[in-house]
Order: sequence, then C-alpha cells, then structure tokens
Amino acid sequence: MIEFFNVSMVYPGDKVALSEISLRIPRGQFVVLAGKSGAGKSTFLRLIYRAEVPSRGQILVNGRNVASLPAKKVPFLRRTMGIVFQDFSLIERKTVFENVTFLPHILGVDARTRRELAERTLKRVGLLDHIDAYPAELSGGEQQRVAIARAIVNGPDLVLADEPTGNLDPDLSREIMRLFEEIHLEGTTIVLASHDPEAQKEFGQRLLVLDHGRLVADRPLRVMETEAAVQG
Amino acid sequence: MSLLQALAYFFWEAVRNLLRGWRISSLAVATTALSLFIGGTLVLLGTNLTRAVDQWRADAQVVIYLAEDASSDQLAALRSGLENSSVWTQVREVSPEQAQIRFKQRFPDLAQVAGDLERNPLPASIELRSRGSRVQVAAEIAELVRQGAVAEIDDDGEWLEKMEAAASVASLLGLLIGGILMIAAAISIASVVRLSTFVYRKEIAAMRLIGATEFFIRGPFVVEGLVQGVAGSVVALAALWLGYYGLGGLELPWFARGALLDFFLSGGQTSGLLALGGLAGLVGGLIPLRERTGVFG
Repeated sequence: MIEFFNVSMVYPGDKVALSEISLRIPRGQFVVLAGKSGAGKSTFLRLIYRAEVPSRGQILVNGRNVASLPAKKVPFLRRTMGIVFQDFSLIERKTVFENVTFLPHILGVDARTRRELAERTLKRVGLLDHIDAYPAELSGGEQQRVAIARAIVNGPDLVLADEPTGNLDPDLSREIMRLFEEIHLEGTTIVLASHDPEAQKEFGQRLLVLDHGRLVADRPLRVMETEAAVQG
Repeated sequence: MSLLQALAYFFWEAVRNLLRGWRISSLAVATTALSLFIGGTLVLLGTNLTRAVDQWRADAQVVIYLAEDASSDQLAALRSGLENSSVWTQVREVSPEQAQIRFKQRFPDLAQVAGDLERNPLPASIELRSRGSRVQVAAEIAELVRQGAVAEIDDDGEWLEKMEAAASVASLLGLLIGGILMIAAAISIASVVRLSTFVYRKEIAAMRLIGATEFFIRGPFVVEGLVQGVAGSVVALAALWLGYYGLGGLELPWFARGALLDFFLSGGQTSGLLALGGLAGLVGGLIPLRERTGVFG
C-alpha cells in the first residue's frame, strides 16, 4: 500500500514538480499515472522508490515512511519493488540471465535456483530463447521485456513503471501493457506512468492525472475513458 | 550473500572488466610492474651489497707495514701493545720472506720478476683482525701510527665503510624511488578504475535502482584496482627473477657477482613487493570511489 500525505516537491529554482498530493493506493491496484511531459509523473514515481526526498509531506510504502529512510536503507526498500524505465536501464555487459538474476545474485541465491528463477520469469515474458543474449542483441521490445522480467523476478508486491512503452511502437506497446496487466492479475500493485492515451484507455483500474504537479483527476479508469483522450 | 561469495563475485566482475578494457588495464599493470621492478632491483642490490659487505667484513683485516728503520725497542713496544689490546682477535706477523712467497703464489705471472730483484722490496708486516667497533679500531690505528715503528697501515674497514654506505644508499634509493613510483602506479590504476566507473555509470545507476548496495556496486572496482596492482607485482617479480638468473649466466667480476647475485629476494621481500603492488592497487581502486565525479558522489 502506498500513501501520500500532502506531498510537495520543489526543485532548485522554485520549479514545482508536485504540489500538495494526498492519495492512497491500495495493495493490488493497477494505477495509470497520466499527464503531459513535465506534469510530475516521473517525480511521483521517484519519490516512491526514494530517488528523491519530498520537500514537504510524507510517503508511506507498506507503512514505512520512505521520506525519512536513511540512505543506507534505500537499497533494501527498492528490493521490495520492481522498477521499469523507458530506457530499459539494462546492464549492457551482462547477459539477459545475469540482468534478470542480478538482485537474486547479490541476495545470495545459489546459481541453480537463479537459473530456475530466470527461466521461469523469462518464459513468462516470452524471452526464454534469449536467456544468454546480451541486451544489445535484442530489439527494444525484447529489452523492455527483460527489464520487466528483472523487475518481477523477486516477486515484488509493487511494480513501478516510468513510461515503459515510451520507446516502443504501438503494437509492442500494447504487448508490454498486456504483460503488466498479467502481472497485475497475479496480485501485484502496479503504478505506471504513461502519456500514451491508448494505454490509458485499455489498461489499468485507476487513472491519476497530474498537471503542473497537481493531481487534477483521480478516478476509476473506465469512467475516465473519454476524459483521458482529452488529456492526451 | 556471504562475504566470501561477495568477494568471489567482486573478483569475477573485476576480471571481466579488466579483460574488456585490457589495453588500458595493461598500461596500469605495466606502470605498477615498472615501479616495482625498479624498486625491487634497488632492494635486491642493497640486500646483496649488505650481505656481501657482512661477508667481507668477516674476512677484513688491518695490515701494519713496519718501518725498515724501526728499532727493536719500538717493535717490542708495538708487539706488546697489540697483544695486550682487547680490540684485536688475531695478530700475525709476516716477514719480508713470507710476504715474497705469498706474492709469488698470488701473482704467478710476476713470480719471475720478483725473484730477479736484487733486494726483496716487500716490508715486514703484522696482520690484525678485530672484533671492535670502527671507532675502537680507528683509535687503535691512530695510536699505532703515533708509535713510529709503522710505515703504512692498510685498513680494509675503510673501503668496507664505503661499500656499506653504497648499500644503504641503494636501499634508501629503492625505498624513495619505489615509493614515488608506487604513487605513480596508484594514480595510474586510479585513472583506469575512474574510466571504468564512467563507462559503466549508467549501469551503476541501474544497479542502484534494482536495490544493489554501495558495497556491491563499489566492490568490483576496488578489486579491479587490487588485481591490477597484484598483477603488476607478479610481472615485476617475474622480470626480477629472469634478470637475476639471466645475469647469473654471464661472466661477471667477483665483486659484481657478490654485489648483485649472491641472493635473490627473500620470502619476506617477495611478499612485501606483492603486498606493495596490492596496496597501490587498493588505493588506486578506492580513490575514484571517493571522488565527487557524479558517479559515486
């Protein structure tokens, strides 16, 4: 569960990224975060995985106040969630297997179990055949699938995705969104930032719309379908 | 992950990094190797010189050449003084005849010339071995000169002192030059590791987002430096060993052989060189991780 209490984020130069956001995301919800570029979507996610500390307010993730978390504890917070980025953020010098099992590896999971985990997860995202490939040998869609596999390999309660389809064509985008939907159907909370109106129409349970750092809409997605198109 | 597993992970990551950038890594290894080779050579030289001087000191003697016009009283006083002195462990007189025999034995090519001379030019002498310090020996020699029965004194200790000073200078230079070069090696290794962190900065950021601790992110870079340092040490030791045995096969004057080739580095010195390389690598690996370059701070 994620809770924002009067959260504001102001960058140097008085640039307001988020303003007085208060909301609650229950466990197991699929939330689509919409808004134009610069609306504050990425900042919203960065605050959850503690890449930023809010200027004001509190953020609780599973009851833990991430804003006051000591820097040394941040990696342990991130291990409880999976994060997917627009640019995939894969480790280029590691194979798909090594990318996907990076976290289990540093957690001390033995090689055999890591292999099983990787095979199971890559099968789920349809990339088992590429287990020994390097990211550079894969297409954009395949790389994003690897990133998703890496995000879910540890069975996190929460997956955060920041414009995961931003670099993909419409067909691949739909495939990736379906993958997120499948992950969500297994009980994972998903918070996905996207400015793609198609993604907002077809996927997710709840739509949060940000505009200049303010939460201007927070409604069940189906009700928002027509409005989302206007926002796009 | 246990500490041992973590170290194994760091090691393999470091080796992979080094192999990917082997050209630039080789430069750092070569710098370290050169530093340790020069330092090691001077240490080797200093050690051999010191050992040689110790050996020569055991054989060293003071030779008093007696004046031809010395009176029997003067000679008796001299002999009595030498025998009663606690500085000398051995007092042996060599007559002019004995000196001539010895000369012919040592220089057989000149034996005929020595025999043809009308008069034996070699003086009588007294050979002394001491157990005293240099100060005591010098004081005794000064006293002998004052007694007047002495024509000349030949003291091995004088040149041994010079050799000792040379050994000390070699060791000191080894430490100084080696120290300076080790700093250069550490800087060179730091440059390679810094470059690695820049090349992999996006991956480092990705690792942080996945949940890797700084320990796991920085560890491979520190070990990368350490591996380069130790590799440099191994190359330097191999070069020293090859040089040592290579020179051993050459015809060298006895003093050069003594000064250079009596002993190779001891186990302690070898370990010390390895440790120095490792230390330079460790420092070189740590420097970039503490800099505010945007990758780690």
